[in-house]
Amino acid sequence: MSLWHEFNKGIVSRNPLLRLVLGMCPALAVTTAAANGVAMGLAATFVLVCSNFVIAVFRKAIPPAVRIPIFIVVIASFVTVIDLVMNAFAHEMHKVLGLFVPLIVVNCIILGRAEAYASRNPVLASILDGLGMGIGFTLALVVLGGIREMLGNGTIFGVSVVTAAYEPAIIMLLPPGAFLALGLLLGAMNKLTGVEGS
Amino acid sequence: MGRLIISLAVACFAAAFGLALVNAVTEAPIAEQRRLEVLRAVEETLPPFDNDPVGEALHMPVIPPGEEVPETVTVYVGERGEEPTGVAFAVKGEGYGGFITVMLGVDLQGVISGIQILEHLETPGLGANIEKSSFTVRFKGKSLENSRLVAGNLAVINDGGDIDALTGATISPRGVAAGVSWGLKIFSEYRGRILEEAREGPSPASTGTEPGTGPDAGQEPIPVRGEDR
Repeated sequence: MSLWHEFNKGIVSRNPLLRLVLGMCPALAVTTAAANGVAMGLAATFVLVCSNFVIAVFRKAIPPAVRIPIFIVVIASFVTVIDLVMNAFAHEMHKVLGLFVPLIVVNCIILGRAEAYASRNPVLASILDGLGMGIGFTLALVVLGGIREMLGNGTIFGVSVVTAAYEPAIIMLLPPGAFLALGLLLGAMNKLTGVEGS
Repeated sequence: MGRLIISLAVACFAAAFGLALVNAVTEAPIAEQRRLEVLRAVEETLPPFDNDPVGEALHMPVIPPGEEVPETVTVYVGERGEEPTGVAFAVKGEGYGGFITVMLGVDLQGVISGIQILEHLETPGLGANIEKSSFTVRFKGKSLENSRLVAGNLAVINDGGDIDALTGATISPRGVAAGVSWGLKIFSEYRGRILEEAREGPSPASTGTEPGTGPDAGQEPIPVRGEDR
């Protein structure tokens, strides 16, 4: 288990969104544009890295009986930090993401990594694990957001990528479009990595 | 048992301390962002002004037409050379996905000088197009006197009024029209009092100063917001 592997695994082989299928709520709700995916992914990555770091540092001091409440306190604190910081310095994006920033608290990727990884691994490996998982989540959100934005609005990151003759498929920006795009993305991911349904 | 309580208490104390620090750092920028947001909307909607409408905002209790309970409306009065040129305030109308909050600017004759959509939950690609200036400009120059009214309100063409709705979305423009009409009625009823209060208003020292230096710069004149947040 090299450190490189700890970082790498979250991006493709154990991508939280496309492999572990965790964090569906923000993935479906905010990915109406690629830029939203970037912001949501980076916010989640920040929380993931910080909470993994803190939990790994104190992993021997945290009594097992109260570990879950302590993890939640740590995660909720970092979520509040990123919520306040975005509100102060990225106000427009904060308005777009709205309720979904506070909801990072209940994103099961973060508690999952705290419980399954950071609470029993050294600090550096835990940071890399959080970083890898966060980047994997961000990439998946950007791809999903990019597909939906392109089909539903004819743009990617706000830049027009289609000819004037293209009639945007508004359904891709609505909730059904999120399921359609995510389903097709999961299918493509399984095909590419050679995983067949069993 | 003691150890469990102590570790939880320590974790919570550390979290509270950290959050208090972050809050102290971000509080002022957040208030500033909110103020700028309101200021931008006011600049978009008011006739030209040279005072600081946001710093000198009035908080007026009004009784909306057909209702008994008074509500407080934050009114931004634009002045040029000490003379009021128009007022702006936030109004709400019910759209397809919830309430639409609109900043409505009118001149002293009750003619709309501009509107801007502040908040909405309309469908992306359809109703959400109400926020585009190509739509909001359709309200400019309208008033309760010069428009085709339906039941005393501005209305979209489909309902017999004269405001062009959006392709594929009638409910959202209808909500905007309802909110704007509500505001126009409030203005015509309270025009005298608003102007009177604006004249005596805040201390003359703050008139004409740069935004943010008025005595009220620290407070947050946030427009009326939807209840669902």
